[in-house]
Amino acid sequence: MMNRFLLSIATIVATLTALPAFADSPFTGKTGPLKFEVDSSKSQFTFNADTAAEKVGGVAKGITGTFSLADAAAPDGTTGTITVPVAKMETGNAMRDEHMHSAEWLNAAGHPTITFNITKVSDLKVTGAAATGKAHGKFTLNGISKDISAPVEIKYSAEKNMIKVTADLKVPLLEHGIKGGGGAVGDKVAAIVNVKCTLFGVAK
Amino acid sequence: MDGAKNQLKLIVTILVLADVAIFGTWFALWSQVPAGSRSWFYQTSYYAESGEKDDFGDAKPPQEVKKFTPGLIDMALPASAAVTAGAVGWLLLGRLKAKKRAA
Repeated sequence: MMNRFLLSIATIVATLTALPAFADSPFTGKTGPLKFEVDSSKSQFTFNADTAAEKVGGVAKGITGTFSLADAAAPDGTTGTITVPVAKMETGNAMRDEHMHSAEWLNAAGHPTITFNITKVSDLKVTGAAATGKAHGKFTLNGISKDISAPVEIKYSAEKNMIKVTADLKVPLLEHGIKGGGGAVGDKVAAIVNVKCTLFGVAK
Repeated sequence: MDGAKNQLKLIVTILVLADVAIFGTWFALWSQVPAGSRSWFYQTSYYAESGEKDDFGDAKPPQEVKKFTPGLIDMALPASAAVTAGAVGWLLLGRLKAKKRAA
């Protein structure tokens, strides 16, 4: 009788201690390390910048990278590297794209990629297979790296074993040494570019 | 005098018709682009919500739509200015010839 009682108590304690590990992670049912590779065909960045004449919008494709977790039960330890080729950033206007890729702007020849190295995720709030939080890391543009943090949403599909990561970045051009032709940044073109990242990762 | 008046009338008519054609064509094509994706400059493609769903059942991010749209600032206005400049030149040339004839 006493043994059964102790066994029940031990089972309850074990369940309660195990629960938070799953409840605090969108990767329900997964344990151990996880790695996802960015699916370039589906992932993209959209960016918007205000100019004197209008709001210019564009898309960046050809995104590559990985997301890694040492432990599926601890998504705050998510790290990753996202790489965007500058030459694959388009606005739908060839002349404007040429300006954007030039040395006065994003300098595709000198610094062909933009990278975001995610070092951790904080303030996680998990709801089922989704989590919101803040991604922290180094954002490198025009060869200049700056610490950045951005609101992020992570969704996991156990059925497809893939993740979707969305993040909103605010990129200060002047801090990355981008002044634009004739110092247009901060004058004719907004100093901050809003970037919305939509990334899909397939389990490796 | 009548000749000069007639020439002026003709030039004004041509200018009005040319501007209607230029700005009408620009507006007809520009207004076909969704409001959030319109540009005052020419575009060979734009990005717009497709209404499709992604693998997670969410709306897909904006998708590329390949469609040429002339720009107001870099195409319609310069075209109108060129037509106007040509018309003014034609008018001045006419006046100059008339003066020479009178002399």
